[in-house]
Amino acid sequence: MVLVVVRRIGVFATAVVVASIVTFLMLSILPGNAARIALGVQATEADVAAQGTAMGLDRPAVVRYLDWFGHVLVGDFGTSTVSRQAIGPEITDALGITVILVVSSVVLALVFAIPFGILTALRQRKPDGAILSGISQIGVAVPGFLSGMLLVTVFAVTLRWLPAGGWVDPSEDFGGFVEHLILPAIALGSVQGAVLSRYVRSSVLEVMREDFIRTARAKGLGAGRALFRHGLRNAAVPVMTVLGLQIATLLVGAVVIERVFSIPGLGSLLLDKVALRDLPAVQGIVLVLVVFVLALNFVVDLAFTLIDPRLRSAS
Amino acid sequence: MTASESPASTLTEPRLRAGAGRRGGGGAMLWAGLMLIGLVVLAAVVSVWWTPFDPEGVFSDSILLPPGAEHFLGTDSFGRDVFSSILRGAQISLLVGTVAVGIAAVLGVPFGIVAGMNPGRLDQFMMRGNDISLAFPALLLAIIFGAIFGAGTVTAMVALGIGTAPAFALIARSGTMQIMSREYVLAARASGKSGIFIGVRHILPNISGVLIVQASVSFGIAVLAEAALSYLGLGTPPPTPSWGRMLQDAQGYLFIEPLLIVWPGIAIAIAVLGFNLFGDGLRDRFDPKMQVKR
Repeated sequence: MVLVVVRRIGVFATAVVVASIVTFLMLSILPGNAARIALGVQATEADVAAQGTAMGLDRPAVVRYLDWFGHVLVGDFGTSTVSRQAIGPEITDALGITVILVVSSVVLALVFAIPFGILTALRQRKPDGAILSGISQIGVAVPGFLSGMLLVTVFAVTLRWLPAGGWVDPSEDFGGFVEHLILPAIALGSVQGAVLSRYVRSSVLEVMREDFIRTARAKGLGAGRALFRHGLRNAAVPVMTVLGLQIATLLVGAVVIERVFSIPGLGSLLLDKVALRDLPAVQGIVLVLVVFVLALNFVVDLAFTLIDPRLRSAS
Repeated sequence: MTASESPASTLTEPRLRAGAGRRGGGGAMLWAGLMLIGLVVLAAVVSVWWTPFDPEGVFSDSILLPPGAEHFLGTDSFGRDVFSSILRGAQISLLVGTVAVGIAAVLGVPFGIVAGMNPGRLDQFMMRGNDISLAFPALLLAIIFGAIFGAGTVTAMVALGIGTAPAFALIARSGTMQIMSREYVLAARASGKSGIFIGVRHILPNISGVLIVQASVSFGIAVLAEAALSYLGLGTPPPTPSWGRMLQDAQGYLFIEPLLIVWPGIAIAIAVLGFNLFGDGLRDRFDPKMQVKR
């Protein structure tokens, strides 16, 4: 048992290191001369060479990688080529905002998807079930940034109930914080909720065919009662797996939603740095996003290992 | 009992092969999907030769007109006919989807088949690598590539293709593992056929069904991603019409003409819905396990 957990931690740590190497190769080696990028096309060869020495680009790639990874572990993520300041603090501030947005949209998605999916499954083969199923299909096809704009049109432009964008820190003004969070969280959660509700539906349908449900039904329980008493716990496992797999999609969705609502999260920061071609900063943000995904998958994986005894002995 | 555990599994095997399912369900979804895809393809093809107005110019005498007799869906902030832009925008969506899915299949499918044919250390190693690639979502990869190589249609297609490849690898691997225990594969191995021969001759045709389903679903995701990238200004550059950039332009005029976000939005939803329905319909048809017990 302990051995399995230790092994999972080892796999996770290896994945983080490999992901950091991939990120480094993509953003520090692939683009060519970072000094030229930082100085622009007009710079002379001598300027570029001097800048390269100043940025430490004349050192071997392995040394540069280790130097960068050291800065990552300390938390300052190296120095921006544009602002010439440590990147870490900016990333930390933005990450907090993105985490709040992602977590609240996951909660919204689950609150919507679980009852909706169960209802769709129970109404299977009835006309209203087909309509519910169609609604979730359309929900998957409407991108989050589009539903975000539609929400702004209705609730900010027409009804003027909620702000169209921006961000308020919860420690300054909690009411304002909630007001600014509602629309983006719904926009980001809507696609996720639609995707999840389809998995809830198929998972519930699968469970409803199990023998123990048939036994419960034979004992006189209705379909709903049988499902609530015996089925839901079993239906939850595949749904949790999908939720874990969807985290990456959700984070990327947050990048776009933050742009729609001008929220100063990690996504907005990434896009700003891309526009400035501040590659060291982009490298740090990408690593944070990727490690975030890996960490959540690791947690989901570990949770399953602890819950499901069959997985404990598996290699 | 899964198909791979039973020696007599040929009678109950899930239909992994394209064209194997005649009696399967999913008919309505399949046809609805095909119709929606047909609509998008029609728009793309027609707009090669004809659009009601030029979607790439600037027309200062027809700015932000509401929908009417002349301009069916109105005009945008540059005076361009929205309907014409929607038609032409279908081209870029289909182009990006086709190339991205093509790249993803070419990279991911052989990778998955090799992993599935070599259970043990090689498979484990390859799949760990695949897991790490999955942590770099396609859209994030496209943003990174935009930062490195500059934004554009080619960058977006390549990045989305590479980013989607791990999903193909996963599907190809699990299909391969099911086929590997079949008698004809065992016979081919016993008669000394090479791994490449078995992979191309026996595995690939027999997992084509699940791969087509994956391709259809990935196509929808690629259309969404292209729209998101163009919305962010990292996709198709102007003046080529793209649904995502139409949304970006329209966002500045939310207070004046909110309908401008509705039209490209509907276009994106139709395309994505079409490929999703088509993929789901095919899945139901190929895989009887997904069907409801009668």
